[in-house]
Amino acid sequence: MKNLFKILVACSVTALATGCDSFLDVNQNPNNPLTATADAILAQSLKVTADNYSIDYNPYAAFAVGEVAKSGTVNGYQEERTYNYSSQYGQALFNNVYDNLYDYGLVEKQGKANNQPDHASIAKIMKVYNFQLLVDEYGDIPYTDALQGGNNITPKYDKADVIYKDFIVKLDAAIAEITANSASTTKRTVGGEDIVFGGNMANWIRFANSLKLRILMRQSSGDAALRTYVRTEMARLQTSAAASGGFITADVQVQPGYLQSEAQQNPFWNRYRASAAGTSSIERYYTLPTRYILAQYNLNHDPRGPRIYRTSGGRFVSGATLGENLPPLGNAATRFLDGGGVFKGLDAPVPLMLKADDLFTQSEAKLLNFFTGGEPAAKTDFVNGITASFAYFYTTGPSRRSGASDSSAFTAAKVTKYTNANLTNGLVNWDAPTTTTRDGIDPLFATPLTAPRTVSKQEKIIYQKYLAVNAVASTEAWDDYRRTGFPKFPASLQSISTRTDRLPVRLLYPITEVTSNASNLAQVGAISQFTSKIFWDVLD
Amino acid sequence: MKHFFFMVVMLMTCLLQQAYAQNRALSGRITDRASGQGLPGATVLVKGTTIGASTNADGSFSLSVPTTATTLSISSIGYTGLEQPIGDNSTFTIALASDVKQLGEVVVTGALGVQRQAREIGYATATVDTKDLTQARVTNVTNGLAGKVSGLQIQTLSAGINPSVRVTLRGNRSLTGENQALVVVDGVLSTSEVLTALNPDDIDNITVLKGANAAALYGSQATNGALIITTKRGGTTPTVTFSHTSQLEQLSFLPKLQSEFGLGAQDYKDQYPVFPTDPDDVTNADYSAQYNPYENQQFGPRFDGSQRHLGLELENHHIQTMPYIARPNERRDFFNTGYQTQNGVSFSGGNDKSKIFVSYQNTHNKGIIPRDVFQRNTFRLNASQELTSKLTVGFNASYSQKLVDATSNLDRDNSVYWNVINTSVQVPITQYKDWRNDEFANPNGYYNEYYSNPYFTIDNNRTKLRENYLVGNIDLGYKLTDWLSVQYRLGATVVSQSNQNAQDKFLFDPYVSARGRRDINGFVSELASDLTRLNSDFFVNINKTYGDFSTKLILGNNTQSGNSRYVATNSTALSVPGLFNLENRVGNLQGTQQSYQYHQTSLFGDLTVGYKEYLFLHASGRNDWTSILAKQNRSFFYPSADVSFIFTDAIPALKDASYIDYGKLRAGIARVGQANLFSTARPGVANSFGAYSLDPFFQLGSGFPFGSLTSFSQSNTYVSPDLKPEFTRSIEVGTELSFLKRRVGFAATYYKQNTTNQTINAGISRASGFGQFLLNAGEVENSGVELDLNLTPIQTESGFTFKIGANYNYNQNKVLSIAPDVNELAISNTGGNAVLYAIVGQPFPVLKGSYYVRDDQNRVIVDESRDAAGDLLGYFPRKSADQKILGNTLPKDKYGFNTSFSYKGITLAAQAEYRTGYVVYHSIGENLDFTGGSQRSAQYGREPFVFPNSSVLQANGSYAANTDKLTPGGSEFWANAAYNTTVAENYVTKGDFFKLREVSLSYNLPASLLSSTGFIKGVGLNLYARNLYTWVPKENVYTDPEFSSAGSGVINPTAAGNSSASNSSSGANSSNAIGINNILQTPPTRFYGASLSATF
Repeated sequence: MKNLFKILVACSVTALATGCDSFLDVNQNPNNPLTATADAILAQSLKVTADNYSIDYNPYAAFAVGEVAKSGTVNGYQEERTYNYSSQYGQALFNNVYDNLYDYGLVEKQGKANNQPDHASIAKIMKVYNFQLLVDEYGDIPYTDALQGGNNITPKYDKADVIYKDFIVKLDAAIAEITANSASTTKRTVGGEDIVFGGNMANWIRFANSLKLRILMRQSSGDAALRTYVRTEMARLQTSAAASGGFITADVQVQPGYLQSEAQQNPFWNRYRASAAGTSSIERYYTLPTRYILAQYNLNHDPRGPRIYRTSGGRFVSGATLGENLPPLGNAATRFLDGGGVFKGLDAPVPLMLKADDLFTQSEAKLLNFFTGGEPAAKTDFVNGITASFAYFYTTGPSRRSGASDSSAFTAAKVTKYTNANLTNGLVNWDAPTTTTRDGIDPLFATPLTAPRTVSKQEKIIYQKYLAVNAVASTEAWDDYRRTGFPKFPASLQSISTRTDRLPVRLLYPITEVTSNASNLAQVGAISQFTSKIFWDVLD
Repeated sequence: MKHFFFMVVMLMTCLLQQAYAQNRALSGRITDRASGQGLPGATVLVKGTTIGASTNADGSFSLSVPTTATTLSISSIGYTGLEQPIGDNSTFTIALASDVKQLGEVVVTGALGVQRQAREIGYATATVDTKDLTQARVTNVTNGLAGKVSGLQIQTLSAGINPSVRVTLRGNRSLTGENQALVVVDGVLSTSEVLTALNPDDIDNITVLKGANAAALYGSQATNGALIITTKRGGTTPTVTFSHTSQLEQLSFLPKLQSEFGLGAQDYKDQYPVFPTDPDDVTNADYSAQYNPYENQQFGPRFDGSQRHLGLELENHHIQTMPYIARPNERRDFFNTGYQTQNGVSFSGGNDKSKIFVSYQNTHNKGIIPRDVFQRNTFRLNASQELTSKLTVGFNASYSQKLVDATSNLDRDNSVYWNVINTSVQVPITQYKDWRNDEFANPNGYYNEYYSNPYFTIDNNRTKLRENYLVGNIDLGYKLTDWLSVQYRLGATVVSQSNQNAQDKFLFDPYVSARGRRDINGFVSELASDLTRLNSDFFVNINKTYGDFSTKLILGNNTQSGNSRYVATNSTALSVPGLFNLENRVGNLQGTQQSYQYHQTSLFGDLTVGYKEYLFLHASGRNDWTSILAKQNRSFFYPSADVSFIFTDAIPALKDASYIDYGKLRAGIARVGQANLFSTARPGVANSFGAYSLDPFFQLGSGFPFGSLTSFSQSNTYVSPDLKPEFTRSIEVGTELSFLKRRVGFAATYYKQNTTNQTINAGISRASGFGQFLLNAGEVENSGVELDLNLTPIQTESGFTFKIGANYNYNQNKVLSIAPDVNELAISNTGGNAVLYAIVGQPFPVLKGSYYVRDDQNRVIVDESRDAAGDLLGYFPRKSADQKILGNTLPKDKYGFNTSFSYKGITLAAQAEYRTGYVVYHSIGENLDFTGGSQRSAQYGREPFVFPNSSVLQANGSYAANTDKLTPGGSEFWANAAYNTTVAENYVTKGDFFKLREVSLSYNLPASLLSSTGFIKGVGLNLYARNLYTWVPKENVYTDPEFSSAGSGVINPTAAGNSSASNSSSGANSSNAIGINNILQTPPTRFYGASLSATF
């Protein structure tokens, strides 16, 4: 027995003396990779941007801009109905985007370090895209100090207008990098992980050009100094874009290969139409199109309406008015048409920027003489924008391909029919000066008017863009409304807003900033959703 | 393992036979003279020899003695020894009187299982023995400790058949790390899960080491104090004990619900006719009246007894019509009376060299929710043998299996409790049991368009859980000389779990789905998880005495290893209804798996020096090396020191004083390191041990892989590159006194603990790119007082004893700092209306939530509200934009009371607890107001009312008391998130409670009666009740304030009502986030039972 103990003692002493380090070196994570290269992060980053844009920003903006109202099926949506926001409302719009931005930051860093320069350039462009989303809802945001992890856990806030100017610098740099690296034969190229353009870098340059245009146009109503800056940059953009392939040539969309399985469906479909199991989503009947938006399609005899929404006997059943006491039940009223313009299918791609949107912005740039070409060129873009919008809403998801004989397929004749029905309607026809519709009713107010109202060229552009982004990129409509005041849509009946349009102008910073970045947030000053406007919102 | 078991059984059998082969058999029972109860562990020796035995659990012994023996010498610690002539007797009943002077010799099981006399110990401990632990037949050991030890907080977080319990000592030290006490079973470090798997009848005693001082030797895990559980050993008399317990469980508390108004959801309902204008209207699809027969909300008209429809018309044109009245007992009647049985058998035997204890227990529990069943089988074998005079071998092993078949309660819509209390008081809910055959109970015909028939919920959502626990150790002791011994102990805790959650598929008839009802997909998810902890202790004991000085030195090594993993898979949806298999699915399989490993080794030393048996100095030191920290930080050392002074022995004048028996002063200081790395809750029993926390990692992007395309995302926690252990410095001083021949006992302790350099998972600005930052920072201070008073007012020679005891703990905790630039740290989900925080300068945790804006006289400001047309809607209170502190959620003051009356074999005992000085948030209140089921929402009869203590802004900018401005009294106010349901202060109540936790009346049949039978040694009867009476303040109309959703395995439901999805919240898992309960928790219950035990 004594020997046994001697052995035991000897063993423990030996183990401690020699084996300690190897005994303790068991902390290598067997569950998750600790590093990932740019190509292994990019697809996820793009998909998350699509999620954020489609089901965080788009639904918020669709309420704010009068496209969507609560149905009678639920109680809820108090903030949407009253604009009585709190710091707990809409936190995802802030938090999820920063989370996504960090991954783009990694793609950029890793791409540069590992001979994947095009990955880095894509990330640079997408960072601007995402930061712009943040500035447009929150104004001043952490920018230069942001995304540094534990190295700066309380990033300071930068001025929104300064950030905006940096966007142009960053996009120019991205375009220059892509151009400089285009001839490289040694770089590791972008492949299928680019779920937007499949590695086509020329398209990324076009997207960067269109993004620059969006950014510049959004701040174009600023003070004299800002207008001068915009004018200079716009002129430079028109030249440089022409030299680098122009603007986007098709809808810019994210398509990772959506399919019918949990977490793998088109996010908008998944949230508002059906689960991967094929049964109704929880929120399917919670919201309805507003009576206002339905009136736009009705009174303009717009075939996109029945393409987007279900009809019964050729008519919409019923919409809802935001804030009304007794809205119709979600299942009994008008909702999105399955396989139609918005519910294209569970495998439909998610748009980041619609071609129609871009064309209308180009049209406006020309109308306002930021771009050369004048009104004739502006009209061309306007008309093409309407066509592009028809093409978008008439395109189905991959699993619901429509043939040429299919009545739901896009044809130029459908656009013509629309234009012909609205020859005197200034909201549709570039050359018509007033809102003289076939039914004698101003769609915006849906009441017969004895004297048709004059429509400015800018109003018709923004109005058509409003229809083009309806329910798929409503964020753009909300930004345009705050910039231009068009179109005039009704605020919620339960609005507590003190503004003349009874609408809010922004979101409040999330509670996470209030609790964990308080001293920097204090520098921004007190924020009200009714008075603290984004710097480019100067009209009223 | 099997072989070993077999060997031991064989060995024991042989030894027992040997024992019988001697000459003369004596047997008997040693009792406490005061109570008549048997005295376990008393020593019976043949005088002048080493032949002897010790008594078993009920005080009996049997002994074979040489025919020459004339006298038995009986002794027991705490009692005056006695010599008993043998004469011709062969059976004896011997009563011992307690020895008033020997309190200091009470044995306490300390760290490493080393037994110490109480007088040596310089820190606070408490021991609860089997009798006190199981007097009310608890199934979970920890419930038997509630209120019995000062400074120990046992919090039952939920009701139900498999409740979770949280065990903390002296408050919360760590902000985001572990605060629960370490659990040690038979000297082996184990896990808190094991507490639910132990058979309470197997436990001999539990020693509670209250502070870091007491636990310094157990290493870092014992910073939070420890429960040292010692299971029963065999006695020297072969004894078989059978016990049976039957108990009933009854719903004790439902939220206060209104019984005046039926179904309806209209805001400003006065604008509508009370009932549909067409009495034959069976569709009511235009929602045109106040009464709405298919609503879940209960803002309809007042009950009037008239005949009304319930639900919509079915496809076959059937429709329910019944009197429009309240049926207030229906919801209570929904719940069953639970029935529980415990059946156990144990065998104890051996001789002075070998001992064996074997037990089996079956617990079968049918809960108050129909179909909920819990089963537990536990087996135990404890054996020890002195192989030679120097070598002792011990073996303890227990195996238990838990089986649970219950309603899954995964989320609000599929929660039984929610569906019951969300059912209007007008609905005869108990009529809808047969949903398969009854057309109005079937989901296609159930009245409620939005929520399920709870009977259907029960059948359609099941969780099946199987857990296996194997806890055991081998113990070798070798006595090298009479002053030097070595001991080696190898222990293992092995837990495995498999869990299936399944929901059946249900497709609505087209007639119903056309109305927008959503089909139920069904799914099946499978979880397999396991946990293995090995613990090895090797130590040397050196005990030497030099004149007046005694020394005890322990030197040793402890090595631990942990392995754990889980695999979870689930299907998106079922393909064929009724078959719960992963292969029966729609879409791809979803799956995750993780595995964890950690190692730790330590060296420690512990020295006690005693002077003349009245002054003891004790010091210890320990160095840990842990695998979960970086190489440069993985080694850390921590010391402790304490002193114990028995002044009654040191001061001659006191030594012989009659009024004081015993007096001790003690003081201690300790510093304990702990690598307390944050670990979020893992599925099942898997435990991360804090492993792999140092490096940020990449996780698979949501939805990926899409075919061959896979992609990753950075994890959301940023980690400080130089994480170190956190340290707790604990000081305590105390005294233990005994007066008047032990009729009065008193103990007091003051402690102060500062935990610094905490490992904090701080929520940081999301603009940093991360949500959390794991760093060392922050300091929390806990200070408090523990008082224990035990009185024996009456103790007569005839055997009547009346005892009364009280304990009290005041704990003040305070967050002194968190991190640079961080003054607040959210520890529960920030999405809710009320959130738990650590805030500098405040107790921890504190509840913050939204509130009503008030004027300078603390009156709620009400604002005029008009509709779009400019018509007055009413005056509404103004909700704050921010959140304020609403109170701390851990009790500051805890009182425990116990009393017993015993006379001969009859004992009446009761135990109660009172906690106060904290608040609780009842998120169930939000839900009840939203649906209109709450009493609160009907307090003004659904009429416009003057908001209490309110004021209105005047033209001159001042506020004047509101006396006539009315707030609307229907759903437009009560169900409204902007004005009511998201205002957290509405649902915060004091957490105070007084609970009569245990009452028991037990009777042990007199030995004289039984001795005639020859073979029955004892029969005990016990009638008891648990949670017999609970008092809560009037304002708490919701539930048991002990309940908390965090840490109880309950996931928070999404935000109130069907509110906008952007507000939806996910689960809070940080186990320190105590103080918010929710509707997934089944309501509180009380128990009545009877048990019978017989010893042979």
